[in-house]
Amino acid sequence: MLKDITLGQYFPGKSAVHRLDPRVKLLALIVYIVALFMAGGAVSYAIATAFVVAAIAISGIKPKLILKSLKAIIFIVLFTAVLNMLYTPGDVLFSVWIIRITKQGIYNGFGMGLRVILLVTASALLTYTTSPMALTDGLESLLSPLKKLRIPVHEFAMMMTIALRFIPTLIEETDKIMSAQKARGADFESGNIIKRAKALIPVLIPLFVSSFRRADELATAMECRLYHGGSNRTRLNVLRYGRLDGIGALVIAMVCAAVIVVSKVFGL
Amino acid sequence: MIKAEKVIFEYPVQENEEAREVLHGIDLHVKKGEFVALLGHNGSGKSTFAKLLNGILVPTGGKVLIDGIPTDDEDRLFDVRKRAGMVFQNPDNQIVATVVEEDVAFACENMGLPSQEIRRRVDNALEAVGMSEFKLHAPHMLSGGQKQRVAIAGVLAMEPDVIILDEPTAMLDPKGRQEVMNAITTLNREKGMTIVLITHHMDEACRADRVVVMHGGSIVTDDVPARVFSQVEKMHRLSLGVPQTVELMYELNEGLDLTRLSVEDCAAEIEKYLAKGEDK
Amino acid sequence: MTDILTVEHLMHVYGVGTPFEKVAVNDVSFSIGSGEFVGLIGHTGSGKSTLIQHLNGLLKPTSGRILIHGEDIHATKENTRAARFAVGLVFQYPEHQLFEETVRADIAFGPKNMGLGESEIERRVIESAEIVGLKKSDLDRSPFELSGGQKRRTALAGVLAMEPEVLVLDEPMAGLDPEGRRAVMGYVKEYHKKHGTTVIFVTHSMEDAAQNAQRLIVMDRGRVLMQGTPEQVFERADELRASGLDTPQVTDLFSALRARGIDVPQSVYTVEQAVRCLRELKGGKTNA
Repeated sequence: MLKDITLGQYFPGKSAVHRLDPRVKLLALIVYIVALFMAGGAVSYAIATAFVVAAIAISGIKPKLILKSLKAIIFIVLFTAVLNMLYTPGDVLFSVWIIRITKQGIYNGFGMGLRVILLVTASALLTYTTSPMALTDGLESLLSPLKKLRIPVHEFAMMMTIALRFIPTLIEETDKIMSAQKARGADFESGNIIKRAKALIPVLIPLFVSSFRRADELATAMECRLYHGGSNRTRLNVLRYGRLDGIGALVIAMVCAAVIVVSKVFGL
Repeated sequence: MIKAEKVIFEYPVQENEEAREVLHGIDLHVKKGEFVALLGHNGSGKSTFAKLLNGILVPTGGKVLIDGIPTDDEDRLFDVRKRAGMVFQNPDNQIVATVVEEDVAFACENMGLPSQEIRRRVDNALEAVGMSEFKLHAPHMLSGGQKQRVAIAGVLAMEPDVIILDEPTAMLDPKGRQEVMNAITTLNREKGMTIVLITHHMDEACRADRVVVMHGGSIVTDDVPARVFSQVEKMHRLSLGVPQTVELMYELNEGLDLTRLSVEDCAAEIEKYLAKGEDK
Repeated sequence: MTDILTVEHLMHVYGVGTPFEKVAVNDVSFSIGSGEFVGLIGHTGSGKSTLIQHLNGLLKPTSGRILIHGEDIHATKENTRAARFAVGLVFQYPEHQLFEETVRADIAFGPKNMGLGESEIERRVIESAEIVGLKKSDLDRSPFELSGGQKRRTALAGVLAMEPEVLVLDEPMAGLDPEGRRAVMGYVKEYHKKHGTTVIFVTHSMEDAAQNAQRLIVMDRGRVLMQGTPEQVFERADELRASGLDTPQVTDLFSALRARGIDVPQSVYTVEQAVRCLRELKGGKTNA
């Protein structure tokens, strides 16, 4: 059933990772990804891995949940690893038919696989520990310099907020409409793709109609609550950097610097 | 507080269509601290009238004044809406944010208030509707009655002079209706909030200080609930029904006091009636 | 009276194995006789909505069985498909599910899925539209042009056109004003009388249920709290109130009278009953 999909994937908590400013977390993720792709040797990989493992431990997120998110990308990891293994030239270890496995290939394959795993783990940790609302606020705040370029950052953030708010409502509604049409003998499960796509029309039309009605009512309600765009708008919860954010940023910067230095300067 | 003078409203029409006047000269004054119920069935014009009270629609004739400010003055629309808060029927379609307290803060944020002031108002508003413990919850996980109370808190946080509620319980179950009605009554009785409640439920209208019955775009009755509902024949003619207590006393046809409409009063009245028999 | 529909030890659990696991329906058993008009009552979250989606096979029981004419609806695929049409389910706010270009086509959606012939479909569309009071000229209009009440009736006609043996209505009067409520209830009752269809009427209003149903089934927290005639159910008015249901005002009034030491029955739930009862009481006293 559609209802079973958990959206947002946010698991509320009070750990230091949860409490970090979303802007710090967003920037940290970007810097971490850059560092990850500059890592080259076993030591630098080890540092990068240790960092993510430590962050998970601090966050209190169950490792099972992280593994679950990795399960979805296992194919991509294997694909990247195998591709790197096959197409890296170097010292041939053994060859079968036209396939040549090189020492560098195995090394690169493992490296790329690990990078993808760490990248996904770090991103998952961000969404698991940051509410969608905080993420939106963080993005709005980080992108606010773009307002000077007349890019409607506030409007985008508002749209994202409303989308997040209405996704569960619309999923529930889709579920209801599908059940109702099934009760009138609609069949969504059999037939070829064209037939199935056609069967969705009785679901999509009422869904669109109701979405427009909702949008209209919401717009009126927002106007009644004095919404007038982003100008002169204040916030209940203002993002403010605290001590924890300073420490967090420092730690992350040090780890990323270490990864880069170890791999680029020492070649480890 | 609210002054509606000879209000006429016609929906804009396309070519070849005849203009449809839905309100024919409504006069209504609502005083500060009053709890007024606007009763009428669908098509009586009550919802249209509600939309005129905070400038969602503007009258095509006559005037609506909120605290002396005309609702058709576009430059002062903001002031009108700040004073007259509006709660709608469908709780799902008026909640904006994904966290309860953020939603309640929405109007204050739009007013540009400082954070500490928003915090104070949000906490007070949630407290007033009994939703404080849910302030960090996601709205879609709440029951209908809870969502509607969040919507009320969102309006309350503007610190308006009057709250207009357009059939706020129509989509709720009995428990949710009870929760919302209790919240509204408390706001009126304890905080002195002026309330205009649009409804077609008799029992909800009974809780008001004053019931205004609308029919076919006009006001047909405007009085205290007891006197409105004791006019059984008139209410039936308007296909509006009366509380069962009144219905019962009317059907008994023994000259019982029809204005005693609460369950307790009616029980006392019937006790008296039965005792009278014993005296004979 | 033969049983048309039997529910045996029905159990439904949502989200098995997740932290959100929730027992929605818990060991529910009852039978519905052919031609009965049954009220199914319970507040939101009592499991009544989950329960009714089992009756036409939309949801599969976690355990337990649903029998139509004594046959398990999940025994074969054909049975499940047959149950879909034997039990017509009208959802809450059904007007939100209209989608076709014309009222006619929307009402015909169910019969078409049943694989009926053109002329049979046409007959059913016209008949069911008539039952719910839609005019012939309305049939070629777009359902989206109709008023709220007309939309609701169109959706109702869409299920009636399947000519189900059992008609299940989930809150068919929700959100309507008193006039609209009376109208919809009138159509359903008339249809029941004319076709002898079994009707299960789901509501959280004790008043509506009591005034219309011959038998009531009250659900609370996934279980059947009580079942019986309206008199039997209202006899236990206190329990009803405790489970968050609203009892009719006259029932409350009679509770208040009893509290004052006046000997009136608890099972009164309509104004007519109350008037009769009070007259008798008064008459008895004056004669004594």
